[in-house]
Amino acid sequence: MSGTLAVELKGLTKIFESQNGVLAANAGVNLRVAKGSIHGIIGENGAGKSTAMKMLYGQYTPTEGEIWIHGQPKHWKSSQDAIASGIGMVHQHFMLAGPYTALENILLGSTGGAFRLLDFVGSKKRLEALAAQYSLPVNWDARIETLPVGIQQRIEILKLLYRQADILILDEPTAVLTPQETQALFENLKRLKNEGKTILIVTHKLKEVMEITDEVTVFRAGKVTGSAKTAQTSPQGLANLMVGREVQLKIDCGAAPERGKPVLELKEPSLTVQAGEIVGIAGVEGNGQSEVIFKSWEKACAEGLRVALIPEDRHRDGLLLERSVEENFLLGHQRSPQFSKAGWIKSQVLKARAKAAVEKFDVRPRDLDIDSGRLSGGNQQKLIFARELEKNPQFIIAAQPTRGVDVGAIEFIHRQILEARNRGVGVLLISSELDEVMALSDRLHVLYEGKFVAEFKRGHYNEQEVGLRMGGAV
Amino acid sequence: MNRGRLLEILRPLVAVVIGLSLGLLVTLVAGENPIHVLSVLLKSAFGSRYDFGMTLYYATPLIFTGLSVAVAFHAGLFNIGAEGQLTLGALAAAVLGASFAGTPSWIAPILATLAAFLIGGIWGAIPGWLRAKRGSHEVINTIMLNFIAGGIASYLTLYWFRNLETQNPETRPIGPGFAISQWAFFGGAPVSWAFALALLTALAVWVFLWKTVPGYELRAVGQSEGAARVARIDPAKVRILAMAIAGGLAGLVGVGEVLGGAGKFKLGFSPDYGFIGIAVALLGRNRPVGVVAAAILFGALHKGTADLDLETEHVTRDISLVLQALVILCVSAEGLFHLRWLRKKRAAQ
Repeated sequence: MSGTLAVELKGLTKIFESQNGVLAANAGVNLRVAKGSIHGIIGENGAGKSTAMKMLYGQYTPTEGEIWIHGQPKHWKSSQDAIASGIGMVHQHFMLAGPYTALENILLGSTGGAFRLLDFVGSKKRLEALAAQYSLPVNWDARIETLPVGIQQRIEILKLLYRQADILILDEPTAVLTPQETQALFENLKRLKNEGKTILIVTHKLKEVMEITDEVTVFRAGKVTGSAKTAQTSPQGLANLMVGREVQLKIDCGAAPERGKPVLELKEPSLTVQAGEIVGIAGVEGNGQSEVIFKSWEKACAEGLRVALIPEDRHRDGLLLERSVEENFLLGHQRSPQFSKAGWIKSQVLKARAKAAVEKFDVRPRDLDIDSGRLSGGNQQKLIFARELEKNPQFIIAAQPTRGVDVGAIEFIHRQILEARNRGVGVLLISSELDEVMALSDRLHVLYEGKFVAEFKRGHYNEQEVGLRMGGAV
Repeated sequence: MNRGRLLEILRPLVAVVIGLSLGLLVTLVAGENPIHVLSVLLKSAFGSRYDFGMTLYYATPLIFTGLSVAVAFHAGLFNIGAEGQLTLGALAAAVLGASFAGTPSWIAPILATLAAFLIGGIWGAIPGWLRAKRGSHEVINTIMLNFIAGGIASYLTLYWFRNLETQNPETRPIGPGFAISQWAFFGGAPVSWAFALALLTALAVWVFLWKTVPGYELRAVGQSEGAARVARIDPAKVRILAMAIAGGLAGLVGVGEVLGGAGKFKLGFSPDYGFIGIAVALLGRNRPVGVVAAAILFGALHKGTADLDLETEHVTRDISLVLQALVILCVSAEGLFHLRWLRKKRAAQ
C-alpha cells in the first residue's frame, strides 16, 4: 500500500508560541495521498490546511510527526529541500515578477554560481518541449504583467514541472479565474494526472472538489476530521464535516418585496439600485470593482443616506486590527448623538450596545476587549456587519462579503443581506464568487474593464453566459 | 492581569536593567567598583529630599516631550521635532514674561503657559500640515524645523531680547508675577508646580485619547487610514491636530524651565529633552502613565550620573554619558523589537 502513496503525513503537529500563549495550528494530522491522483484539501479558514501544506513544502518545520514522500521519511530544513524531493507549490498569490518575461521568471529560481551565465536558449528549448508535452502553450518572451492570470498560473505550473516536481500543491487555484479559465485549468490538471503527477488542491469551493478530485481530506480546527473517496461523498456531507454541524447550503431567497425609490443612481458607469432589491455585480477581480464601490459610497453619502459599507478589504478598510472589538464597533458611529455627546464618548451606552450586537450577530468569542485582529475572518466580518447594520441603513454596499469567511458564517451573512432586502433596504452586492451573486441578486451586472458589459434578471442567469461576459467575450 | 499585560510592563524594565548592567560593566573597565557606582547612582537620585527633587525636576520636561512623542505616535506619526517645539515654546514664555513684566501674578503664569503651548503647537502643526496636505514626511520636516527653531531662537535671543546685564546668551528675566513657586519640601531643588502641571497634563492626554471623540479619531487614523476614511474621519485634519497637540505639549517644557526654573530663556538650555522624549515614549509604551514613570526613571538616571563625576575617582563625565546612552540604547532597541514583534503578529494574521 505504502508503495503507491506519494505523500503521507503521520501525526503532524505544529505549535506556534507567542506572547499570548501557544496555538496548535496542526494537531496530529494524518494525510495519505495516492500517487497519480488529485487530492482535495478542504476546510474553513484557520482550519490548518495552509499550515499542513507549508510543512509539506518545507516552509515550516513540524513540531512533531513525520513526512513521508514516496515511502521515504523526510526531514527538511527549507523549501529548497522539499523542491529537491520533487515537491512544488503554486501559491494563491503568484510568485512572479511582473516586469520580467515568462522565461526570465522561470530562470529566476535556478541554481548556479554567481558568475554562471543563464542559458536562455537551451532553457527555452526545454521549456517549449515541456509545454508541448503537457499542452500548456505559453509565449515565453511576453512580460508577465501583460499576461492574463490564467496564463500566469500556467507559467507557475510549468515552473514546477521544469524543476521536475512530481507532487504539485495548488493553493486556492481558482480564486482569481473565470469559470472558463477554471475549466481550462481542470483539463490541464487531469492531463498532468494522467502523466503520473500527484496533485493536491487546497480549496474551499465544494463544487470544485466534487468536480476535479479523486479523494478529499477535510480539516477542522487543526485536525483532520474526515477523508474519503470523492465519489462516495456529497457537498452537504463535506460542508457538515468542515463546520462540525448541519449547514444550510442552498439559499432560499423568498419573494422580493415591493421595490421602492432608487437609493443609488450612478451615471458612469450607469447603475441604479432601488430600495428593496439586491443588485449584484459579477466580475473577475480588478475589473473596476473598487471604483464602483467608491463612487457608490461617495454618491450615497453625499445624498445624506444612511449607508452601510462592507469593504472589499476588511483588514485595510474595515477594522482597527489592534483595537478592541468595542472600539471597532464604535467606528463610524463616533459622532452619532447616540454614542457621544459634546465630544465625549458615552462609554456605558457603547458597552451595552456593543454587547447586544455581538450577541445578536454571534461574534465569537463574546469578548469586547479582545483585539479585532485576533478574531477569525468570519467573526471579523460578522463584527463589521453588526457595526454597519447598527446604522439602520437605507443602502448597503456589500463588497466581497464572504471572502475568507467560513461556511457557517457565509450562511449567516447571506441571511443578513436577504433580511435587509426584505425590510426594504437597497443592496449593492459586489462579489467575485459567481455562485454567490447569482444566488442572491435580483438583478445582475457583469463588470469587465470598468464597464458593465451585460445585465441579467433573476431567473435568466446562465453560468456559461455570465462567465463568458466576465472574461470579456461579446 | 493576564500574561501579555505583565510582559508588556516587564520587558522594558528588563531592558533598563540590561542597559544599566552594561553601563556598570563600562565603569568596571574604567577601574571602578560597579557596586559602588550603583550605590552612588541610587543615593544621588533618591538619597535625600533635595536629590529626589532634582530627579523630579529633570523628569518634568521629559514628561512633556514623552507625551508629545506619544500623542503623535498614536496618530501614526513620528515626532522628532519636540526639540524645536520646546525651544520655541520656552522662548515664547520667556519673551512674554520679559515684555509684559508687570502682569499680575494671578494671571501671568497662565498666560505664559498658554503662549508656550500655542507657539509649540504652531511649530508642530507646520509639519502636520505638510504631511497631511503635501504628503512630505514628518520625520524629515520635524528634523529640519529643529534647526530652523534653533536659528530663530538664537536670533531673537541675541538681537531682540538679549539680557544686557550678563555675558551669557539669554533673554531678559521674566517679571516677578510670572515666576511659579518652587516647592520648599525638596530643600532648594527647583521642582515647582510645573511638575504638578506635567502630571495633570498626562491625565488630560489620557482622557483625551481614550474618552473623547477627537482622541478616538486620532487613534483610529493611526491604526488604519482606510478604516478611518470609511468612518468619515478626515485623516488630514486629524494629522494636523495631532501634530499641533504634540507641539503644544513639547512647548510646555518652557513652563518648568523658564517660569519655574531659570526665570529666563537660556540658549541651549535643553540637553536634548526632545530626543530623550522619544526614548521616554518608547519605554512608556506611549501610555501617559508609562511616560510619567519612564520620565522619572530617566530623570533619576540624569541626576545620578551627573554626580558620578564628583563622587567617584575614575568615572568621568564622558563615561557617565556612555552609561546613560547605553540605557537609552537598550530601551530603544527593546522598543524596536516590540514593534517588530507587533508587525510579525499582524503579518501572521
